[in-house]
Amino acid sequence: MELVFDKIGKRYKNKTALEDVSLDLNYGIYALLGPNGAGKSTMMNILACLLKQTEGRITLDGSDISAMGKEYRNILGYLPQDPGFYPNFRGYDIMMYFARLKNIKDPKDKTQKLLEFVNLADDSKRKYKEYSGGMKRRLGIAVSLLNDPKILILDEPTAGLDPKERIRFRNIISKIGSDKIIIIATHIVSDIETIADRVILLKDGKVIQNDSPSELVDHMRGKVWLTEMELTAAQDHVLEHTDSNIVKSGDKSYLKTVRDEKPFPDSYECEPRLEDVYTYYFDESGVNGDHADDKI
Amino acid sequence: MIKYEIKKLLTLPHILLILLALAVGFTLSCYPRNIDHSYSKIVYKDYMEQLSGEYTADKKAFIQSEYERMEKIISEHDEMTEKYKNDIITLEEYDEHNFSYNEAQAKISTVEYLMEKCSYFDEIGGQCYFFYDTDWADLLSENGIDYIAAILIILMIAAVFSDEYSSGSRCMILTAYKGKVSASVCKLCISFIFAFIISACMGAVRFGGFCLQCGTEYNNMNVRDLIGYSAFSGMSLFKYYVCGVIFHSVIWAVCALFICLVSNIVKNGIFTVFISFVMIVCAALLKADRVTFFDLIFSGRLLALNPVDIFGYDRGSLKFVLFILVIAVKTAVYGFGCIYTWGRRRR
Ligand SMILES: Nc1ncnc2c1ncn2[C@@H]1O[C@H](COP(=O)(O)OP(=O)(O)OP(=O)(O)O)[C@@H](O)[C@H]1O
Ligand SMILES: [Mg+2]
Repeated sequence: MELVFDKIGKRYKNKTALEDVSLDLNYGIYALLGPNGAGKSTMMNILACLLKQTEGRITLDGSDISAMGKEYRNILGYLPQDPGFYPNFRGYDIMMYFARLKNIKDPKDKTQKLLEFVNLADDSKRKYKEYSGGMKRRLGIAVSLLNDPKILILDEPTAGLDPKERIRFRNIISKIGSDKIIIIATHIVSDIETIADRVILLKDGKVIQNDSPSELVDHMRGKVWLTEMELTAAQDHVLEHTDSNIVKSGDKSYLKTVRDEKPFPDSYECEPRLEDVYTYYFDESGVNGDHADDKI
Repeated sequence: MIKYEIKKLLTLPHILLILLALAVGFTLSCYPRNIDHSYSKIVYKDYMEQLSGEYTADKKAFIQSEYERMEKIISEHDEMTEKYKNDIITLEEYDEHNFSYNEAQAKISTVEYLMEKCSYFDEIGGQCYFFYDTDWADLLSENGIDYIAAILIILMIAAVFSDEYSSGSRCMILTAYKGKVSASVCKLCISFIFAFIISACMGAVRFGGFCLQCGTEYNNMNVRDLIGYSAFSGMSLFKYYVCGVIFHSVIWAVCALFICLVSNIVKNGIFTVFISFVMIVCAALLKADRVTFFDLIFSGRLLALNPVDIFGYDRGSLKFVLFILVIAVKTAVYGFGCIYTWGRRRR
């Protein structure tokens, strides 16, 4: 299965949300990483056939997805950024309703299995309005998985989840299987760090990087610096430099800076992580210039 | 799927609202109607005790003689007063005259109405029956839009689609296999049927109140015995009432589709209620007595019309076909409009 974005562009009235996005997706977990307003949701909505692109087309194995209709929706699972369900419905009813909408053969069985899978079986008889944020998200994921989608789109699925729920989410995603194209839009690096096969960096509507996490991290080698520093000095520094953040270890405090050049004479290189990639590409201060055209 | 769509529609507040509306409708219909007549209901009822049953030449003659008798008494009044003043008649005789005079004054308009009834019977021919038909005539002549049904239907149907927009569940439904066409068709069918049922229930509740107040003994009388309903021969009063309720319920059902279309266009519950209210209820206020082209476009005006105004003059002819055609065209336009706007990709 090959999902191809061919020069996708999306312009709202006076705002370009996506520009010339070309991608080639195969089986695997793709993380779409970008800051607020980068165009992630726009891209997801176009992929879910909810939004019409201004330019380009998306094809699945050669056929335009917008012309595939039911056939495409049958293999699609989509969890929007802010999904809403009916407050007075029980979790179980919501699942059953969507199972019918998705034309599932054995809806009761499938619903039961998925509720167990997302650990909601015990709460399935409670009303949606009584669910916590995390439970709502998990229910949303279960709904999007009902039809065993081949293409699964999750728009910020971990927003508002506590660390334990995040771990549970990662486990769920990695258990779903490898015969799918899973696209997760997020700006929280740690959520996808360990599970993504590829990371797509989106900035101002453009794809600026598209690579495996390890490649991206390798590219950061020699760019991540640690400097031992007084806490107050470090605090002053991070206020002015968004490419830096404070790291504490024992009673010592360090300044971690992601920058092409050594920031201080006594700085030393350290092992990069995926979040440093995020800091490097999405730093607003401009110290590192624009990396949109960087090639690894 | 239908089960869950119904469940969405019939939330607890909605059910309470329905029960409240039915209760209010019932209570209102239990009160006697305040309708002015050219004749006295009490006198008419008295005459009907004598006259009820088949209309015959004897009865006509009796009414005619009553009329002449009363007219005579009234015309004699000045003369009698004069006679009494001049001591030509005694006080007893004058008293007697005055009693008849007052009675005649009180009854003559009713007798005139009875004569009107006779000429109506003569005109339509066939077997006609006298019975106390004022209550029924009042019930059937009621027109104007049913505000309780209007409020209930607009409030509830507006939520069917706009709730999906406001809650954000539309995106999830639209990406499901049956989410584009089947889901919207299901919602449309439920809206259509629901509006029909609500309107029919309101009709039933009103009829219940009517029966409680006026009794059920004339339900099977022929509606053509009522002045103005000659076109509906062979139909009992009850059947005619039921047909009227069905007629209005069908229009309400079409209005429900219109409300669905509005909610798909404006995507907001409050706006939908507002626009629907203006387009349906306010259009109904601009009431016309006869059907015009305008009425065919604005369903609200059809709702305000009495079926007798539409079909009363030449039933079974073009008008009925036209009505069916209008309903069919509107159903198709609103239905397809809804399906299209629901499934349309945003730009
Ligand atoms: N309906 C719209 N009309 C006009 N501009 C829009 C519309 N929707 C989105 N935008 C703009 O398009 C850009 C991309 O928005 P989008 O929602 O795709 O970002 P995002 O990456 O999902 O952000 P977030 O992380 O905050 O969810 C933003 O600048 C936004 O203001
Ligand atoms: Mg978003």
